Amino acid sequence: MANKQNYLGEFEHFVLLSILQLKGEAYGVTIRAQLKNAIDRDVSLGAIYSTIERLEKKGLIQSRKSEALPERGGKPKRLVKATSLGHEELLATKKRIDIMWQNITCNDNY
Amino acid sequence: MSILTWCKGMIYLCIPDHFSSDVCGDLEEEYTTILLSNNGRFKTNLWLIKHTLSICTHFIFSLKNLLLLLVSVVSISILFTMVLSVFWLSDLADASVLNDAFWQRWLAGNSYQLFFEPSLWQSTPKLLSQSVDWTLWLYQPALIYALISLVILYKVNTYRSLSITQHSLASMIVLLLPYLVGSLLFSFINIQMTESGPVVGFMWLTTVYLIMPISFQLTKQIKRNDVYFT
Repeated sequence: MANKQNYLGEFEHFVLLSILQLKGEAYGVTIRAQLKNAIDRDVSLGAIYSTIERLEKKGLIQSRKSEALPERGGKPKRLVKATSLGHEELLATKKRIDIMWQNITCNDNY
Repeated sequence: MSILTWCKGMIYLCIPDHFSSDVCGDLEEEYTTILLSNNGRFKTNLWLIKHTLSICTHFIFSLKNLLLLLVSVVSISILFTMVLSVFWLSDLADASVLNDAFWQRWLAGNSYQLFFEPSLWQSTPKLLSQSVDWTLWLYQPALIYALISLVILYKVNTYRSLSITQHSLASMIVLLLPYLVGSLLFSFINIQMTESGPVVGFMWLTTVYLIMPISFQLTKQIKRNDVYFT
């Protein structure tokens, strides 16, 4: 259980990277658009918000509310940003992936 | 009322309160500022309906909700079957309704065979419409076992922080133990038909007493333990 909590899942990994790429403008709509544009993955807002909630519980991101906006029906945005623990976890995940990729050559024929 | 209002209403109904307004805000922003101007109303409304259903099903059909549903359905079914069987047996004026083979299995400790008897299920409406004799449901040994095992289960869960799997296993043991003890008694001691009532009462009534508190504790833990579902 403890291990499961520490490791980043594939989708959590993508969402966390999107948050970093979007800098201070990461929220549901922009994260969804980023995932669609970058890796052609069309995901629902439900999937994004449940992942955001999980990442926040793990302490990898933190969120704040913006001011209420008329184009959102008077509702604020929930802006998210990665914490230092989030950065550390991403780097650790990248290291693990790099290690697993060592000495592997793949091409389109396989 | 517009489709957008309907969809937002559905989202408020289906997803957790703490981010339903964030999801609705995002949905409205994408609908009005991005899609409506580019795709036209019909195509955008289709997108909205599809997306709303996708958001709602994501939360309704989560592993956590399915597990909660499973625990609730199983425990209610067991309780219903047990209560019905106790009613039926107490109401059984003529034992010849059941054949000799059944009573032999009964004396061998296989009292669960009653749950598969068609005559039990055929008399369900009649049994449910009868007045309840509450004294039938109070059996001291079963009550004592149920109380002690519930306290032990609660204490162990509090001090050892059991996982959902461990908690489920411990609950199963607590529920099945009286049944196993009863079956062993039937196997090793020659219990007569007239003496079988207290043993079967202990086997069944402990389940009747325990099933709802145990499933309540289990569902509470499933709701609390989010990490398990990540």
